[in-house]
Amino acid sequence: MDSIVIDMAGRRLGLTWALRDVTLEIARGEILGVFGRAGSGKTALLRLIAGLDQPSAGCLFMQSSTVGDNSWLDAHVAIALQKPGLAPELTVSENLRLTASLWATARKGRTGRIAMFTELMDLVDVKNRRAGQLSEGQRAATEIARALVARADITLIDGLVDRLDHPTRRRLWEYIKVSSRRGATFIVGTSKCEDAELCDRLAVLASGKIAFVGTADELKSSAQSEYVVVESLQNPLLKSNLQGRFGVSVSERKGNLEFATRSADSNVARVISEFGSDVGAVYVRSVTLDDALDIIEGDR
Amino acid sequence: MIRTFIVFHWELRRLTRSLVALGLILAIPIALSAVAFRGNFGGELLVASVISGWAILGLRSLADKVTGFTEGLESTPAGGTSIFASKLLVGLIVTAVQIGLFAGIARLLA
Repeated sequence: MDSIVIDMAGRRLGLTWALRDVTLEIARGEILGVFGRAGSGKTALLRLIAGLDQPSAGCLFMQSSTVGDNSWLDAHVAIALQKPGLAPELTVSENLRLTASLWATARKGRTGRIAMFTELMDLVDVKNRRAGQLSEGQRAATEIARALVARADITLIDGLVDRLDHPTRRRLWEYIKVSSRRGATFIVGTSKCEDAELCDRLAVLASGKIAFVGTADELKSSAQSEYVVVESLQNPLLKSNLQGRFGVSVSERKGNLEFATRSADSNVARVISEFGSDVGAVYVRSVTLDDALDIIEGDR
Repeated sequence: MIRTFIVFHWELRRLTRSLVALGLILAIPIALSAVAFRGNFGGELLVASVISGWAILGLRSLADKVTGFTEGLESTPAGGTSIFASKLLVGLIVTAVQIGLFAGIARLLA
């Protein structure tokens, strides 16, 4: 199997460790989501994989077991940076041409490739506009196009997908899925569960360390609970009553009260029987990736 | 080598698009000639050209770091050497333009 191996890698920034003891193997053709809150070390990890920074500890290397084909060992890595690396004086098209030239994309296919990603990222109307005059979303789209146009074996996208509008985001994910089936590897840094759900596998980072590696479903089931949601007009009073009676931590979310439990159905019945007159509705919702991340971060 | 020339080509194009850079390239020789040298050029011409040329380049490099463009280039196979070499070439061009401007102004004032 061809893979990227990260072995006990760490990255120190001044006196603090942005990343510590990260061990991870990313298979060729995989879509890996690097999932975590702001400041969890996503960018530090992506920059290490891109080769923009060197690890302060541990190492990263390419591993290939494909007999007779060592091309993976020299795999090219392109990155769409969180802070777009565009030349503000150059137009969108020119920025893409500059990148394509540097990646030595064959001249014959270069124009077509640039046109394809200009369309994919919904940049046709602004292709002759200077990068310095683009909106934040358009800059993010251009930066992603800049990474895709490189025709790299491994493409890293650092937290830009959530800045895209919905149709562009959908088209990008379709492209990522199709390309990964053809052997391209994608590593997407994100804090949004909508994007994390679409990855083959997630590496969850918390405080610079890998807290979980697995699929989105595995991450959700690792929470081993469901949430009882209580709709009420008397939230502060009911909150303290629920906490006192059930011995759980009750949080407020979207105006409702909720608490995690492993026996949701019986707790719903208890809420109705004990606080029936104070509540508008009681229901059970399943764990989301956000909940799982909260649990990992110790917020719940 | 090819990548150095690719970056150099685009750097020159960027320079011609930057009103601030162009303004400085034109304004510095005119201002310095009028204030400091008053038409008497000698070795100072070369020194002033080199200093102002590289100062402009330094400012642009700083701006590129702030905008993120430097990192964008570094994330491509261009590499640090190609980027440095292309900036050096641009610096030489800017210095040559400044020398030309200083010389032109000196001739006019002589």
